[in-house]
Amino acid sequence: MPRLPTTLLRRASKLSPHLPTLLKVCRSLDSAQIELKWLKEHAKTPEELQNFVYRRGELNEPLQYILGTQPFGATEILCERGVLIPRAETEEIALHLAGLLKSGMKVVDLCTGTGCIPLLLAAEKQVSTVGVDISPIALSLAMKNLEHNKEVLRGRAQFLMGDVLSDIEETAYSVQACFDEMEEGHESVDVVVSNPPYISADGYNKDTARSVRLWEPKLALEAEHDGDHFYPKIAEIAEALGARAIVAEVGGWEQARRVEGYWRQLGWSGTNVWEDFAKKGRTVVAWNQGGEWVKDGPNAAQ
Amino acid sequence: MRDEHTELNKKLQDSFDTKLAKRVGELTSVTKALQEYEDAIENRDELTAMLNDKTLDAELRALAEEDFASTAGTIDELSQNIQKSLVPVHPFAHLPALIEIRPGTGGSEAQIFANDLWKMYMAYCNLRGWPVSVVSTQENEGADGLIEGIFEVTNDGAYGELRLEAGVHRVQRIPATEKQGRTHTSTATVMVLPSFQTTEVAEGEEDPDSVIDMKDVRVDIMRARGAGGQHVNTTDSAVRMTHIPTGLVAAIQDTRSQHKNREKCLQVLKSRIAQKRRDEREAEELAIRRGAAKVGAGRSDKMRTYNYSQNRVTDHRAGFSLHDLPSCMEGEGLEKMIEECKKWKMGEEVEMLALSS
Repeated sequence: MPRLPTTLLRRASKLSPHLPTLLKVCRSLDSAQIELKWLKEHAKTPEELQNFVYRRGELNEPLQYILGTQPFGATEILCERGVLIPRAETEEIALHLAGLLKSGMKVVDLCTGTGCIPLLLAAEKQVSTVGVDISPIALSLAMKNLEHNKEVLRGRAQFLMGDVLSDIEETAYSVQACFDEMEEGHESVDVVVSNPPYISADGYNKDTARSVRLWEPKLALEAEHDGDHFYPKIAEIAEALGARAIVAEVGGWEQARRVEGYWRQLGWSGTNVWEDFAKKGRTVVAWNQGGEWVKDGPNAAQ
Repeated sequence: MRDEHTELNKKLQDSFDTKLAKRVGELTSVTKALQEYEDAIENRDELTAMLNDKTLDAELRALAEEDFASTAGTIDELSQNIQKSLVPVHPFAHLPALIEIRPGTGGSEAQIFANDLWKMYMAYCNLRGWPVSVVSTQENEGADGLIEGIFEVTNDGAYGELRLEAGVHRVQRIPATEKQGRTHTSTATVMVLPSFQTTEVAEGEEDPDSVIDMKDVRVDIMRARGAGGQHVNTTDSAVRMTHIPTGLVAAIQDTRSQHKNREKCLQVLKSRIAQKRRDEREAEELAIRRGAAKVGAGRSDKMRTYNYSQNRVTDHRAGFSLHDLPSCMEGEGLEKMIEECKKWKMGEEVEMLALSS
């Protein structure tokens, strides 16, 4: 990483003694100033602020772990070490998907983590959701988030433990049982959504930010087979649940094209890639008859 | 007009309709003023008949004469009331207001003054019991002044109450930073915009001026450098929107929620667009009026002066001075000031009406 110019550091220290420390991780005065503002709002004493600034600037701790939350659409997601922090790209996907959903639809989120995706969907629309994760830390945080956001929920959300990689039948069965409990006469799920670990071993070492590597769980980030390991399994579970649409986040255009390939091979009749706000290939969607509504993304050309 | 009023009132009894109700509300004041005026005229005619009656006894005559004199005065006043009620209500007067304060000339002293104005309006709204929501603030480097401050007064009708506050506010005082005791003159600009909430569309009430096609809006989000997604955990939530046809821009980075920043940004953008459209229309109207007569110049610069050494606040448009500056800054005196400005505006609009009729 390039060194920060001395003039910038001097300017920063004139404004506040905390800014040079924050600059180490924020890299621009603008974002250091706004982070300082948020830290100040959160700190109860000057000593606590000093501690926050040290953790953020020197230890590279994510702001979301220090403040304990991340706004996500209309929800506020509690963040704890051991569980991946919700990303702005995921927020964009979830908000767009919420706009496509109809009341009464049933949604399954695989690798749910904090539970941010199903909670946002249930906040926006009257839908039933089930979130699945293998990590007990993530699940207990998802439960806390359900409680934390219950005031804004219009739909329903449940969370259960499940292994997407090895126990496809078992996972599908538990999900179905969950919906069975929620409503009589349940037959099939409408859409499966997922933000699985998608970074390759190589990419993990080269392309991730320091703060991500040092603080966030590798379990939620890295996957075998160039990061593609989860995608065929997601499609298999979707099929087992009778879902007509899949929406999954990916790490860029190359991976998006590969995932489209796997899913077509598995017999899905249509696939498309949604572009994110930074014009990167961010989401792959697939559908069978009746699931075509999932085709267009948030930044699709009109 | 009165016929329309009775007609509409009848309709309103059958079925309630917000548009109809608004029109009735507008007409009610005219009808009322007209009715009072006609009553007074009738009263006068009766009194004239009495006075012309030669058989009237002296005591009664004295009473009638007294009444006649006072009625004549009332008639003058009532005919003015009719004029006032005929002045059309500002089309956005019923909306909440968005107030933007920025320093003008005068460097850091102007920033400090902008902050003083911010506190003054906060105190005033607090005094009147109006709910206020801060949209965004940007402090200066010394943290004692404002580079920009935007807040919304969210109650209906706030725009009508506060719109005359828009303009250049000038301050004359010895700044705290001044060592030689010299008086400085600085300015700050206050913009008052009608606030069009994004939710208003559903109620079928949205003003045509703030309607924009989202296809014309370019949304820029601070782009994640590198791979984005799971690779980084950035906190950038800034949103910038550009309305391509007008080139107007709004940018918000106040909260950690991109979602909320987006909503606020759209709200600010819509208000700016509506204001621009309205300004254009006003300029057109003004050109027409100027052609007709030399009345009502546009917003004059330096509409108000806050003179600290003389303990005086003067509104140059209304020609009104308040000789108690602290009371103005605490909100109480400002109320009086705003009342005077409204009177001035009303007078000007009545004049305009007289010219155009």
